[in-house]
Amino acid sequence: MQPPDHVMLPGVIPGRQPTIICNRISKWYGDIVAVSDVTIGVGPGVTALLGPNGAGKSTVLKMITGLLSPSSGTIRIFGKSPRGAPSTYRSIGLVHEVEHIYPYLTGREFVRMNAILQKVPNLDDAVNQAIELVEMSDARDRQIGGYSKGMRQRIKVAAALVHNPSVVLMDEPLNGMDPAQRLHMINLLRELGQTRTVLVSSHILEEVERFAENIIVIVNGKLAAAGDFRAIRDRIDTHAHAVRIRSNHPRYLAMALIGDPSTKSVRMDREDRVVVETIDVRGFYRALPVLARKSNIRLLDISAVDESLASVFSFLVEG
Amino acid sequence: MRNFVWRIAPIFLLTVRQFSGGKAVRAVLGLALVPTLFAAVYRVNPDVNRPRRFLDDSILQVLLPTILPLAALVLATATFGDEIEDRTLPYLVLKPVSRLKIVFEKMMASVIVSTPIIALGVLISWFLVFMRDSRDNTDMLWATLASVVVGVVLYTCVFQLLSLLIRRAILASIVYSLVWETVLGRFIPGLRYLSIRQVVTSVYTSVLDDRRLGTNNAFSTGGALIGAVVVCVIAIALSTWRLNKLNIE
Repeated sequence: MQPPDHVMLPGVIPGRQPTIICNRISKWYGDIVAVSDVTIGVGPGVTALLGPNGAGKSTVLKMITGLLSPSSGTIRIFGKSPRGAPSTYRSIGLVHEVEHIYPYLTGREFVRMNAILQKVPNLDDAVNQAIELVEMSDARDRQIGGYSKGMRQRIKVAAALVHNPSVVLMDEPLNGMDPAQRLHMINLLRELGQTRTVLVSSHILEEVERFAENIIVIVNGKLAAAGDFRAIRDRIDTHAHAVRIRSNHPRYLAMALIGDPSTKSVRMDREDRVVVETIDVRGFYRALPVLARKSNIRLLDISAVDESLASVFSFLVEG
Repeated sequence: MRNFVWRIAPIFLLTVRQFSGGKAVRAVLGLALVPTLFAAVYRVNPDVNRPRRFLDDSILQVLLPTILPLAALVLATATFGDEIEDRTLPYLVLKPVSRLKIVFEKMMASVIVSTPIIALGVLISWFLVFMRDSRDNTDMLWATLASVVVGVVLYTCVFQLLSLLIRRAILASIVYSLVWETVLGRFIPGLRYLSIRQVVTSVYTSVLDDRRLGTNNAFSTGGALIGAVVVCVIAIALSTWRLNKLNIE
C-alpha cells in the first residue's frame, strides 16, 4: 500500500506537516464495519474528530493509539506505528472515554503513577503542575472513587499531560463537566494547540466550534468531511436543523416562529415543547431571543434534536 | 519505603492496592482456611497416634490438588481480568513500559498477596494438628510451605496467561484444575508429566523425604524445579506476546 502524499491528506492544514497519518484504515468485527477506509492526517493545532454517537470516533482514536489494530490500513505517529512500539507513548497523552479510574487511588497517586510510568524526571514538580493545570489541587488527596464525573475527567487530563506530550488525544473530554469547567477545559485545549498536535473527539458541533480550527467528520464509520471548520460549518448550515424549545407559553412561541423567514416548519411534541425545523441555523438562533422578548415569552431550554444532528452529519456524507 | 516501591515497581504496587481488602482476597482467605477447619475438627477428636498421617492426607488430598489452584486462580485471573473488565488497562499499556514488565509485576503482586494468606492457613493447621505432639514436626511445615510457594508461582503464571487468552478464564482454570489434573490424570498416565499438581506434589514429598508416604512421584526434586522454571518462562513469554497483540476496547 502506497503511503499517501501528506500534502493532499484530508484534515491537514496546507503547509503543515502531519504528525499523525491514517492511511486507508478500516476496522470490522465479523460482518459489522465500525470504520471504513478512512484516510486522514492530523497536524499541529487542535483538530476535532466530530460525528454522532456510534459513528466510529472512539474506534479511530483507539486505532491511532494502538489499543486496537486496524483490520486493514496503516497508522503512523511521527513516522512510527504505535502498536508494538511502547517507546512511541513517550510523546503521546490519551484521555480515553472510559469513566472508571482506580477508585482506591487518590488523584495525586493516579497522576504520579502515570508520571512514573512515563519516566518523568522531576516527578513531584510535574505532578503538582499537571494537577494545578486542571484546577484539582484542592481535591488531589481525595480518593478518585469519591470524585464527580467532571473531576474524574479533569484528573484524567492531568494524568495525560503530566509528561508534557507533543501529541494529545482526547475522547469526549468535556463530558460530565459543568459550564465553568467546560470553559476552563476549552481554554486549556486552545493553549495546548499552540505547541502540540491535539485531536479531540466530540459529537457536539457547537462545542467543537469553540476550540478547533480544523475538523474531521466521521459518520457511519466513513470520512464525511475534513478541513477548515468554518468551511464545513457553512456547508452544514445549509442543511435543515431541528431544534426543540421549552418555554412558558409554547403555543404563542410556535405562532411567533411561524412568521420568521428562517423557519421551515413548527410542531408541538408530546411534552408540549416546540420543535422547529430551520434552514438557516445562525439566523434562527439570532431571531429566537428577539421574538421571545417581543412576545413576552420565557425560554426555558433549547436543544438540538439528536436525530437532526445525525441527519446533519449524514448530509455531509451525501453532499 | 512506599514511595520507593512506587518508583521501582508501580504496576506491582497498583495491583497489590487493587487486591487489598477486596472480595478476591477474602475468597482466598476463605479457601486457605478450609484445611484449618479440617484441622480444628481433628483437634476435637484427635487420633493421637496418627497426626502426621492426618496432615499428610489433608495436604496431599485437599490442599495441593484443590485449595491451592483455586486460591491462586482467584487473584491470578483478576490481575488482568479486572483491568479488562473495568477498561483501565489503557492506563498501563499506553506507556513506554515493556509488556514483560507489566506481566511480571502483575504476576509478582498476585504471588506476594496469595502466598502469605495460604501459608497462614497452613501454619494454623500445622499448629492445631501438632499442638500436643512433643516430636519435631517442622519438616512437614517446611515441605508444605515450599510446595505452596512453587504451586502459587506456577498456577499464577498459567492462570494469568489464561486470563489474557480467554474471557472466561476462571471457568477454564477450574476445568484445568479439576478435569485435566484430577480426572484425566487418573486415566491417562502420560498427563502426569503435564501437570502442575504433580510438580507441586513432587516438591512436597521430596522436601519431606518421608518414605512412609509411598507416593509415586512423577518428578525428582531437580526435575520438578526445572519443570517449574520451564512452565513459568513459557507462561510469562506467552502472556507478554498476548498483551502485545491484545485489542483493548
